[in-house]
Amino acid sequence: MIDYGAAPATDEIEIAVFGPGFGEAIAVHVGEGQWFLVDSCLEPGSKLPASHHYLKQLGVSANQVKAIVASHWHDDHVRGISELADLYPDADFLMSSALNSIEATAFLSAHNAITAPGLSRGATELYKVLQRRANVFHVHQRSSILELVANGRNIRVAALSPVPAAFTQSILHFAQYLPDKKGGSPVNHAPELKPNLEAIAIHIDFDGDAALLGSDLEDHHSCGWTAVVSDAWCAARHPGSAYKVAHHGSRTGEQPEIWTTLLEQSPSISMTPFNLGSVKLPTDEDRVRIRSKSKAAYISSGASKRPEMDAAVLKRLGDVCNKLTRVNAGFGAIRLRKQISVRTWTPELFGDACTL
Amino acid sequence: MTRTADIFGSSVVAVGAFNPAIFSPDWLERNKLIGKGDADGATKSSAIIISHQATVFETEWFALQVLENQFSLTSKGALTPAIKDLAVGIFSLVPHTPITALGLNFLAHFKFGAEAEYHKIGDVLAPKTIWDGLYPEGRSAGMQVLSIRIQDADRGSDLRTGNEKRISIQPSDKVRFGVLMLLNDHREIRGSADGIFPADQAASIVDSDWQSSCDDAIRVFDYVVSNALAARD
Amino acid sequence: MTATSTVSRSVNRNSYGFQGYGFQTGLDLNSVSVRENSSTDFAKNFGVQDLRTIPEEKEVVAPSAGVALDREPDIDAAVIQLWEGRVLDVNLENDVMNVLLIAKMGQVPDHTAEIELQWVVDQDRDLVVAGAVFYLTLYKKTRRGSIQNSQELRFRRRPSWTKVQVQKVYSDADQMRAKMRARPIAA
Repeated sequence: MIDYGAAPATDEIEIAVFGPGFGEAIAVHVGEGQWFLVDSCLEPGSKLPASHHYLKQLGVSANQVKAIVASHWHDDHVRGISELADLYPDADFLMSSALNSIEATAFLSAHNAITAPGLSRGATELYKVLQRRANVFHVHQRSSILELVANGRNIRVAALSPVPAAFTQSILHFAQYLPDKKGGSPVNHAPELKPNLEAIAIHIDFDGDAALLGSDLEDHHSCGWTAVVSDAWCAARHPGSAYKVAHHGSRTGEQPEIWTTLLEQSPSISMTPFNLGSVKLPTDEDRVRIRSKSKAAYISSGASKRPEMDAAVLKRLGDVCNKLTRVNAGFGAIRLRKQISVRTWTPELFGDACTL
Repeated sequence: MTRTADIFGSSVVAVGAFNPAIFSPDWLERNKLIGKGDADGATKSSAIIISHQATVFETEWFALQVLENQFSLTSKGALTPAIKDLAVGIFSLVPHTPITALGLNFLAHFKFGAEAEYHKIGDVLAPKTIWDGLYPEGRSAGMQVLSIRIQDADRGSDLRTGNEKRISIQPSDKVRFGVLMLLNDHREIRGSADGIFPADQAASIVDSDWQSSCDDAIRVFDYVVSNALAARD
Repeated sequence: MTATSTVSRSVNRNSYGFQGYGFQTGLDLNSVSVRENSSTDFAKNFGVQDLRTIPEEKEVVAPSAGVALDREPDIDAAVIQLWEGRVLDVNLENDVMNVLLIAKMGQVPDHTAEIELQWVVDQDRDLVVAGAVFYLTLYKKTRRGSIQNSQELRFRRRPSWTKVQVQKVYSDADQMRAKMRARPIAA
């Protein structure tokens, strides 16, 4: 079990990124014991949501968590988020405005594993939240996620995306996978919208410093990162000294002006990998590109993905399957901590996290 | 480590009022519940019967028997959750069928390495001492079948009502020096509750509970056999 | 052979010994034998019409004669492991599919793998699309004392959405949408 040590001091800010090979979660301390959480994955030992497992170890109580953001609905970003919502009932729950449509909610209703076992875990998690919570907030570009005062500073957490132009694309995508109102063919797992234009990219203004959480937002000429960096309001945000890289470092999550408009020179970088089937991110090319932006670049997991099962079963399975790979091999966390007045973040690596 | 059964199977049984003639391979195929290969194989089999009174046919992986007051879908060969999907699919297509009870059933045959282990199961669960005394000269007693009923503690005085589980164990007729264990997860279907038709309720129960019922059966079978074998002689 | 008056009794007719679901029979069970090519003969002997061609659900009719059939489906498989799989993508050029495998027995982590499409039976080939769910079973088949390793890959088939199910989806959707609240615009 990972020993995360002590909680941050009240005058420290912190960004902790958790990730196995498939999954991502972020816990942010804005000061004076106030936290907000973004996305969720499971800590492999306890099977608890990783952020909760972390906060529990630090002795953070439930009422210290002010908000939970589901940046989008994909499986790897929301495992256990419904449990997080139950564990922190006083925290506001926020999701993308791309889900604020009948098409989206009908999609969640039709595609979850409660309605049709075996279907999307992601849709299931958000479906559960929407069933259990009395209210849920939706956010889009310029929406306020959280505003509070800590250590005499005005902390402002805002959404940089999705942009309104992404909503139409989203609605069209969800509508394709809805059951016909007359009754029709059943559906399997619905593919995710590509590129991902629905995700909530987050800007954290610490009032003297800032950070950018890129979620899985990808680029697109009128939606996505180009729309974000082209927006005057977004471009006027305080440049971030820390960046959780978008979309697992992929080329599709890259937009050069992110680095020149939204970030300081050589920010502290954290990211999570994505390994599922034939998709493996970041690629070697991605790693080279990201390392060229900053030497302080870290990834939550780089562990071996050898299969893990009974040897006899593995041998038998090998008759049918090739390239058998464990999905979540290795779990790690990257913690960036500092006082606002200090220039650079202090990185700490836990578990299988390593330098990129 | 959970003991692996030598043979493991499942059936979904429903009690109600059925029209057996509906449930033909062709009907299942047209409603996309089975593939053409399965449908053709069943239809061309000499053993198929389809009538108002009874429909019976088999494919490589399931056997279906529908009588006027009972529906029974049984796995063949390796158990696959597709059997659950098929039951769900069938019930969903006949929502008006008045089903009154549903059974999620699982069976396992366990073979033992030694005859002594086989006898020990019976000796622990149904000690012979009390029975041997009945006919002591030249006669011996042995357990034929033991059946236990698990009900909710707050069911009230009527032992016949409500959901329940029935676990039974008996000598296996499939494996030498083995036992057959059965778990019947019985569910009552109560009319059109909240406007949901009985067959839809049945479909919903199978869909949501078959896997957990299967997991429980594996746990129960392993628990009984392992604890019986571990008991002091 | 004549049909006797209806006799109700609980009969353990199933080879697995499942108790509790006895069925009513109108025939002396011990005298019924189901022979090869029985469907037509059976129909002739007992005045039961072979209704194989009836496609639609019909109103349930009262029985004139019940039938007891003693079928013993053949099961002789010891499951070693069972996975529920999801197709991640299909590569027709290489005739493979990339899949996610979720083990259903024991605490086995999820794995991804590549499976050649030759393992998919012909009747399931048109079900092989990204997002499709399948079941992969590894088992030992025991027959007359000999044990053979075997595997089965079967794609999930679910029926079309019914109107009731669709209504519930949209009713759910309305309720969930009604809970969504906007956030103020940041300064």
